[in-house]
Amino acid sequence: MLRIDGFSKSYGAGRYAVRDLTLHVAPGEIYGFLGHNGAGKSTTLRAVAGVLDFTEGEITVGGHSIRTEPVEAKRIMAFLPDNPDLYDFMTGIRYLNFIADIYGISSEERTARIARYADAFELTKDLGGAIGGYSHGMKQKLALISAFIRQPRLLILDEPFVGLDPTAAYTLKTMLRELCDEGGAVFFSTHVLEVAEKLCDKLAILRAGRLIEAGPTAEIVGRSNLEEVFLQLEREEAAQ
Amino acid sequence: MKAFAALVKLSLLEMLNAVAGRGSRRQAASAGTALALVAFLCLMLSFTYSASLAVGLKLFDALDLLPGMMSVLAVLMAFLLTVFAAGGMLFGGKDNDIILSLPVSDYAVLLCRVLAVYLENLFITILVLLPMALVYAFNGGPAGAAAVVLAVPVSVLGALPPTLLGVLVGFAVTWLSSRVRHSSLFASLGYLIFIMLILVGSFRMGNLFQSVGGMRQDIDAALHGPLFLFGLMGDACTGNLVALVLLALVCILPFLAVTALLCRSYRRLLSRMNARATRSKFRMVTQRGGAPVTALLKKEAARYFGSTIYLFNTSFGLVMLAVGAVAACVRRDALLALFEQEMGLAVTPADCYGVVAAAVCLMLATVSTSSVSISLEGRCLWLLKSLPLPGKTILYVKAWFNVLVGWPLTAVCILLLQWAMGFTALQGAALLFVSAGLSGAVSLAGVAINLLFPKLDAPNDTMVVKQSMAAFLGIFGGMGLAGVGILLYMVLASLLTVEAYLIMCGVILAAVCLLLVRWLATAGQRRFAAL
Repeated sequence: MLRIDGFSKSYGAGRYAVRDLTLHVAPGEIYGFLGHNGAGKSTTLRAVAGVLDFTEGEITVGGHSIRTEPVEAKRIMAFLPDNPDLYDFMTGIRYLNFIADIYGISSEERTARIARYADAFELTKDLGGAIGGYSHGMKQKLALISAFIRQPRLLILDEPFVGLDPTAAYTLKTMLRELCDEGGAVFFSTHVLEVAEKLCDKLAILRAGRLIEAGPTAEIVGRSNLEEVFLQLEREEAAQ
Repeated sequence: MKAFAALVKLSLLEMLNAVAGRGSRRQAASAGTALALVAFLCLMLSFTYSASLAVGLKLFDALDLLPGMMSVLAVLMAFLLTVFAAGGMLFGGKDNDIILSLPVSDYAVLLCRVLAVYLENLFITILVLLPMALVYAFNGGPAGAAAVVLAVPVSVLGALPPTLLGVLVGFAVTWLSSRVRHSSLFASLGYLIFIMLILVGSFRMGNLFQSVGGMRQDIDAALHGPLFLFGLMGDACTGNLVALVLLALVCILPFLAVTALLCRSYRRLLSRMNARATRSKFRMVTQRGGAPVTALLKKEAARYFGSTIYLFNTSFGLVMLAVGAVAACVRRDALLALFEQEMGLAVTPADCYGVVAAAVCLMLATVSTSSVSISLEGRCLWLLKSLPLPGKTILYVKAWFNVLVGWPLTAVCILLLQWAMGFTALQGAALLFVSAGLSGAVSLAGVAINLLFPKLDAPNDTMVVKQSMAAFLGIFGGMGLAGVGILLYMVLASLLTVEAYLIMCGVILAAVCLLLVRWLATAGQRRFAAL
């Protein structure tokens, strides 16, 4: 579903945010992306989503290159940055209709999907309000709803659980699993290791722009827990 | 005091970033050069206007009225150009949470935000009064060269009243709109009514100043009576130090007193604005679908009509054009008398075609929503970039929106003017054609300018719309384009009729549009992807 091959992003003068990253996300997988602050996770996710330009390596989504076929690639995925800024001057329902129009979702389908996901995230009665008046959690929920109504085959999420109440977090986990069970894939970053350990089929750990560990969660965690493994890896890398 | 100084430094840095951006040094240098060029052009315009006014005043031995009259112009211009900005600067900051949580008094925060409005007014008053003082000294005004030196403190003080008025209007509109449902619409209507009142008052004042010969004493009485502020400014410029001291008192004391009073409700008003109703009683009904391009246009419209500063700052020319067209229909004879006075000979309505065409093009050229449209995306740019749409489609829609804002209303105004002034069908068609080309060129160029000078990290939308380099270039570039066209006609007047010239310009502008469309589809799209 998602192939990242030799992806590098530099900001000039030999400064790399991400260097030579290669990983593949197969259909049906929830792939967790971990790393310390500034490791390059957001850079990678933004490049996958086609929001960030890059010149080294290749990223393909559903067989479409994000560089040469961006429209086709974006059509089958949905992206949420961390702390998503939305259009404050719109109401929630207007924003959802805007997204639905862009993705060509019919009137009946969008009504059904908006109703389903808005109810699931308990945001229905707030959809008539201006986004400018939403709390951070409400914006996060609205952004998630806008992603799910597109029924993407690949979901790219940057710290999706930040700001969500426990009920919404549980709903999100359920929906991510449902999406993967239906053949889709999820590639998301998080700092909440417990969530990553329980939810993800595979993990990749980034440090200073380089991949230091990747593979099935069970193999990486082993007999320990993800927190200990993560901290151990960080210490080993720092010592080198 | 240190905290206040830190906030002042922050305000100044934000303003500097708004103009210069945080791109390469080359970009900052380009921005600085463009700004210097604009300032130079404004100084030249002001100088020319002062000089021509001085010539007229000297004929009636009334040169001493020049400083007072130009002070009226300076303060009025400053007020008109910044009244929309004040509300946004004071209440539209995206860093409110951070700033208000600091251990700094509300008064200090308010003063720092007012500082941005004040500096803009200071820029305008200096641009008007400094050239005036030069002209005054050159023409043998009593103070001589001292008038030029005195123009500086007079400008510094003279920028305070329009700032205070702008702040008061901003507070009033914000307070009222925080209590109604459709606050943006209400604020826009409020500003529109206010501006209409100012324009009517300005025209009346203009009529008073026009007949200098017969009404010298009336003007003098006005400048030392109801318009005493401008009289003080004028007298201070001519070396009257008592007037300068009085001016300082009249400008500074009310400013400090009123801002001290307003700061008591500043935090409360900010909180009220932020705590919009979020718990609505929305019930899901069948949603209607639309095309992607329509969705993008609706989004642009929602932003445009939802922001007073965006609406008025980018479309003020349209308001003036509409007022002029309506005035031509109802007060045609008064307009003709004005033309006769300016041109010094009897004119028929048809004789005014060239002047009307120039005015229409100049005002249409200032309609530039597209030059700030990308910058206004700000932190939401990721949304547009993540959509399954070609970059060029997004750019074209932004240009198209500008055309939709400017040209239809312009076309209606042209038809009204054609009817009122009795222009021929060919004259009307030529003006419609060239205005369509101009609207397209300005719209597409605006997007290109914004791609070259993006400002995605502004602390508020007002800074993007009023103080960013792209906004400057969009408005002044458009005016420059229209101005070049007007100047070129003066060279070609003997060879072409106005209609033929306009048709020729329309063809050239259409070609420019094609080139810009091509650029946006190639290099422009790449720039957008790199943002």
